[in-house]
Formats: sequence, C-alpha cells, structure tokens
Amino acid sequence: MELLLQLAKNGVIIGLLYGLFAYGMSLIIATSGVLHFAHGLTLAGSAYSFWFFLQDQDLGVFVAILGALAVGGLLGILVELGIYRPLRRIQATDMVFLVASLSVLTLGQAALIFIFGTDPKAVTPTAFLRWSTDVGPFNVRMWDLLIIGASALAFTALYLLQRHTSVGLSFRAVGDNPHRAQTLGIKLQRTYVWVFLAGSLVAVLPGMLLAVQNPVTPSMGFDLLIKAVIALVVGGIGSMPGALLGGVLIGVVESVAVYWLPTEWSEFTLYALLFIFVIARPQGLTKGALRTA
Amino acid sequence: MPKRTRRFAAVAVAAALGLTACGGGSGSGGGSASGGNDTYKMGVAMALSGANAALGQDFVRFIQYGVDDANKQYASDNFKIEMVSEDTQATAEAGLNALNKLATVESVPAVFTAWSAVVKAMAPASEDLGVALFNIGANSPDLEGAGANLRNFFPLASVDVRAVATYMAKEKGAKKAAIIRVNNATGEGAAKVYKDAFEKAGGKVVATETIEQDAVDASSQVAKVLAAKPDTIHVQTLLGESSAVMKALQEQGAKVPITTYSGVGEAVAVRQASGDALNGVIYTTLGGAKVTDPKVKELVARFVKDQGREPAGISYDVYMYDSVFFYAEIIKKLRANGDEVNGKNILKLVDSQRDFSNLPLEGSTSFTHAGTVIKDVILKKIEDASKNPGEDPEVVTIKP
Repeated sequence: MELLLQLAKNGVIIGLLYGLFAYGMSLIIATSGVLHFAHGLTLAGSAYSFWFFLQDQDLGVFVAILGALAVGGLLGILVELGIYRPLRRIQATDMVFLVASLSVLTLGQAALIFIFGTDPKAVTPTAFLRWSTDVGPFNVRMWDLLIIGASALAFTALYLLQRHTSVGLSFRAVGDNPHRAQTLGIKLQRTYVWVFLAGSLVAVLPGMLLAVQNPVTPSMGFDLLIKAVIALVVGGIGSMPGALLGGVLIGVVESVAVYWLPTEWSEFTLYALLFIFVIARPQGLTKGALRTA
Repeated sequence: MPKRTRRFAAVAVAAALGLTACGGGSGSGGGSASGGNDTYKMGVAMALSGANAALGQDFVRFIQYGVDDANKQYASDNFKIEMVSEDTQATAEAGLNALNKLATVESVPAVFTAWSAVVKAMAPASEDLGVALFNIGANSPDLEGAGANLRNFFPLASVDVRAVATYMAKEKGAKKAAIIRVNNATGEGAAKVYKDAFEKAGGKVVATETIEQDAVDASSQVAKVLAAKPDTIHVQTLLGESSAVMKALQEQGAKVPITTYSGVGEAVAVRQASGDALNGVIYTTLGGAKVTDPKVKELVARFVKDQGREPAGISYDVYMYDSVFFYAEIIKKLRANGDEVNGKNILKLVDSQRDFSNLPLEGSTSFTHAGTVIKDVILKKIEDASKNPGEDPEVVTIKP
C-alpha cells in the first residue's frame, strides 16, 4: 500500500509537469486554433538558456530565470510572426499549420545543435535542489515542491489573466469566435502575439525544471511533447482545466499502472488511454472548445 | 462541434504517433569518396544526430584521429585509409539505411559501428551485402553470433556485467539484487546476463524495472526497486535517463551498494547532472587502455585542445581509435598476401589470425571462436563525481 501511495504521488507530480507543458499549448490552441508542436522547441530553448546563464556564464539563478523567460517568450513570438501569421494570411489549412509547426521544431533542434553542440549540458545540483525528506509514506523532493509551486503560479496567473485583464478576455473572445471578436474591436493579430507570448512563458517553467533534474539535450522537448498531446486529447483539446486534468491523469495512470504491471508497460497504458478517449470521448474530459487556425 | 473535435483529436493522435516514430532528431554524417588504388574506405556508421549524438560525434572524431595517425604509421606500406561516415541516429531503421548506403553507394568493404540495436539490425543485412561488420561500441550480450559477418571488437556485457554480478554475490555477500535497465536491446541483454550470473553465484534477482530512453523521472522505478528490499542495485541505462535514476536513488534513500558500467560512470554529463548522487557508485571498466595511461591521456589532451571539452565517453573512444589500426593491419596483411580487400577476405583473415597486437592504446586483442573479445574487468568507485573519471580509485581487477 505504501508503494502504491508513493507511485500515486510520483504520478501526480510528473502529471503536473505534463499538465504545465500542456497548459501553455492549450492556451495557444484555444485562442489561435494552432496545434503548436514548436512548443517543444520553446521548452528546449529555454532550458538551454537557463543552463547557459546559470552554469556556463555563472550569472546566478535570478538572471538565468529571466534569461530563460526572455528566450522562451521571444521564440513563441517569432514563430507566430514569422510562420503562423503568413500562413493565416494565405488561409492555410490546419494540416499546413501542423506541418509548419513540426518543421520549426525539427529545424530548431538542428539550430540548438549548431549553437550548443551535441554534448548534453548539465546544471550541477546544489544542496537546495538535492533536498528531500520523508513525509508519512511519501518521499518528498525539492523538485516535487518546485513543480507544485510552478504549477500553482502558472495556473493562478493564467486564470487571473483570462478573468481580469483585457488581454486575457481578448484570448477568450478570439478563441470563442475570432470574427465576432474582430467586430467588437479586438485586434486579432495583436491577440495572437500575446497568446503565443503567454503560452510560451508557461513552457519556460517545465524547461527550467527539467534542466535542474536532467542533462539538457536538443531533443529534450520531444518526450514531453508527446505526453502533452496525450494530455490535451484526454483533458479536452483547447480546454485550460482539461490540460491540467489530462496531465495529472496520464501521470497517475503511467505511474500507478506499474504497481501491477512491469514498468515497460507504462507507456502502453498511456496509449491505451489515448485510444479509449479518441474512440469513446474525443471531446476529452472537459469538452474542449476549439476552432480552426 | 463534436465532428470537428473528433477530427482535431485524430490529427493530434496521428501527429503524436508520428512524433514517436520519427524520434528526436535528424541529420546525416557524410564522407568523401576517393579513387586511387591504395586508398581503402572505412565505413563508419554512428549516431550523428538525435539523443546519442554527443557520444557518436565523439566516436567519429576519435576514429578520424586514428585514421590520421594510422595513415602516417602505414605510409611506408603504400596505402591510406579514408573514413566514410553515415548517421544511424542510434536506431535500427536509420542504421540499416546507413549500412545500405555505405555498402552500395560507397562500396566500403567493412563497416564499423556501435549501439546494440543498430548492430543487431545490421548483422543479417551485412551478410547479404557482403561487407564485414565490426561492432566497436555496443555491448548487448546477444550480439554474440548475431550474424555471420559480424565480429565484436568491443567486449560485450557478458564480460563486465557478469563480472560485477558475480563479484557482488560472491565477494560482497549480496543475496538479493535489483536491476534498473533502459528499455532497449542493450538493457534487456545486460539485465539477463546480470540475472543469470548473480543467480548462478547463489543470489536472487528480486526486481527488474525498466526506464525509457531519455525519461525525465525515475522515481516510480526506484520506488518499486526499493520496495523489493535488495542488497544491491545494478543500473544499466544510457546517457539521457541515468542522472534521473541516480538522483531518485539518492532522494529515496537507497543505502545499498549501487553498480553500473562505464557508459554511466565515466560520462561527463551524467556525473555533472547527478552531482553527489553518483558518489559511492561502483562501475565497470574494461582492461587494456586505462584513462590514466599516458597514451590515452595524450589522445584526450588532443581532443580537449580541438573541442574545448572532455570527451563524452573515453572508455569507448579508445576502441574507436584502435579500430582503425586493427583495420590497417588487416589491409596490410591482405595486400601482402595478394588478396583483394573485400568483406569476405577481411573476415577470413580475422578468423584465421584472431590475435592482433598492433593496437596503440589497447596493446592487443584476441577474438574468440564466437567472434567476441575478452578483457579483464576493473571495478572503480566514484568518490567524487565532480572529479575527472581518471581519478576514480580502482576497487578490484577481475580476470575473465
């Protein structure tokens, strides 16, 4: 029983990480309709930036966080302005957006190799990051607390942004009906830039969290991207709470399944869950609302 | 909207599966062809892109050092070696493409490669293509006898994993062992060897857990392993996921001896990312060239001067460098005998000669009847992961 509880706790934590990554993607999909696979590049780029400022340049954690946020936000805006906006102008189909996004991800990985080389970059763990303790049946790590803290921060900030700011309200209006939003005076292009900025800033958080736990590699966003897509389908594509719920659900399923099954089956359980949702409940847990790009 | 939602979900699923299939990177190596009767191509198939490119690109650099030096050494024999490299991405599919290109387009007589999944995939195809296939950096035990044209220049895990398993059971008195392994051919093969050897030595493997390559978290695997209350834990993982395993072991308070192999213990990125979670870990290295050897040190210094950093896996790199001299010796002998340098003749010569004593770093190597090599196994202990692996003290040398 103790093991089951520990596995469930591990699942919630890793699920929050998936959810955090999916959350930014979901915000972008809900508003712009783009399935933004290049989000994986934002994650990897911000992780490299975090490593660069913290480990390579030794500029301290505060500068490293700001640097990673700046790079992550900039990457999101650049992809919107340089790729998606021209595609929107020519009324490209969803499939074209998808292929463009995948191309950006692949090209971006090549660019990271060109800039940083292929050898993995590692952040040396400090005593602060290594801290862990036992609480009842649970082993609680500093990494767990950082993930919980980052998730709470991101979810609260985006909730407040969407409920109480004109920019956030414009996200919802554009996501609901872009043509109607435009007739109400909302500038679509500006809203898209804002949403890519906000969504990308959220992706910086898992980027930094991964950088302090594992070596940073150009392909590091890939595994998480797949999990995020599964989380989006399970939670409801385009639904903000759905991204969180989907992330946590797949984290728990992946982790708890190995209580009864060999660990090599954990990914199988995720894909089984994915197909169950696609066939039986394609709208996901929360009936995600989405529109075309 | 349900129709559109369903369509969008289907696109997302297809894309997710596509992402899974296409892996983490792309790109290719390259090589140049040359004419000249006295220039012999050396086909090299390594991971030049993707998650394992850090190791693969270093491997190619060390092979190129070997080519440069061997060409000087064998200049008086009137032949030169030219490396032609292709990218395998450390995957079976890309590996087969690389082999096909090297054999059919570049017409190389021999291909030198690494990564167990790649070697395994290439082994039957090399027979069809008529090229000699040399494994110079993969250690899955089932590579023994995997193909008629395959010879394992690199010692398989059946050597070092068997040695460490037996040592922990017999010398350290461990009765129960647990294994955490990467979910691929390397991990599966090594785990089987460990289990067989440990249980043959009187112990019992009470848990074997797998982790996906490049996984970001290993806490569930470690929780399961610790729940089985082993006396020792063996970790057989690759570069990307190793630090997650080591950190999880430390965070969950693993107190038992942890063993692994040089691919983890000597990897600079793993040591840096794991920090003191690696301290106390025992890892295997193979006899022959040691990182403290002046010749190896000289080669490392050359690499550091060129690249501005330490090589990612020096235990492997010495085999990369030496493999060129091994190939040069074969070419020299075949030329002396008046034989054509082709796949068939290369294999025939390796099988008849078996002992090669011209290797600058390893000194010599001997092939068994099964096309494998056997080495002494040295166990080393990491006392301070922030230091260079060369400073790790030796625990014991185990004779084969």
